[in-house]
Amino acid sequence: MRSPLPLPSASRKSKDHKRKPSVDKAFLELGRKHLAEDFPNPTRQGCPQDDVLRLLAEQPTKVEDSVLDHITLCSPCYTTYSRFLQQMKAKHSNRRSATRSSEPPRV
Amino acid sequence: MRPRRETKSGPPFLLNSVDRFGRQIAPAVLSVSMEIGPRALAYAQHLIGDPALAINYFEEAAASVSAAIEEKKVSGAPAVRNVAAYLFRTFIRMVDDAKYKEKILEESLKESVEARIPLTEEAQVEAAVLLNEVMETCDRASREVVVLRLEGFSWKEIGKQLAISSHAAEARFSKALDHARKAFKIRRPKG
Repeated sequence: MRSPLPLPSASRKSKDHKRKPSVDKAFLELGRKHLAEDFPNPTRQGCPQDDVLRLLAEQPTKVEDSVLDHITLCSPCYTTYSRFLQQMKAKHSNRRSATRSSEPPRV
Repeated sequence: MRPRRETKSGPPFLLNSVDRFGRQIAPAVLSVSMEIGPRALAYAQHLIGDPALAINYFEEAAASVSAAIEEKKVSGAPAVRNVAAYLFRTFIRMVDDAKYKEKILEESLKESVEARIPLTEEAQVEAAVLLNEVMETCDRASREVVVLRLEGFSWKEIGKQLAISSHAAEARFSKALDHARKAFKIRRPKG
């Protein structure tokens, strides 16, 4: 018969699987700042069109590798790409909340 | 007719064909260096301040890239996709490493004077070095995961965006960072 209490091994497992903060927030914040500020490109050398950056944000598989390479070496393009990403994210979350509000309430 | 206004051009950008250790810079790499040099040096000067030191690092990076390309050719490893990007990242990494060493030195000097050392700038440089390492060495999918994560996307959102599972996205991110940390530790001076 099974014990109603968790087995020692089971409790140990759950402790091991406790979510640890995998990467500190600081790295993400500083990393973003690095890409957005440390690669000035005032003459916009080799920059792709905004449409391409939008496509990279919305359908990344349709865009060449070189564009991804470029945005990590050009702060103005990274900032534009970041703006498109945020717009896309907002659009998705708006759509989700609209769908949720149109659903009939659960009884 | 109104005369056209001439734009002022700066002094010509000149680079040696050997670095300060006497290592050769391949002609193909040298021509790419001439193209990206002004922009790369502008960044380095902003960070380390000294233009002569920046040129030294740039030549060093170009020589390292030349050697790496040659080595890849000999070993039959896949060729460098984009020499300009590869060179730029190598250079930025060198500058960031140099800045990091400088910080460590400064802080060890300060340590004797002050009890508390601010770590914010050090963390900033370390994050930059790690990120450059990821962008230089990881595959496209991993780089995309890292960029989306930096932009605040959740694992689920990243998975959806790249048509992979959220676990795969998380695993790719951790693997990329672990790899970069390992490489960084290898290069980081001991002591």
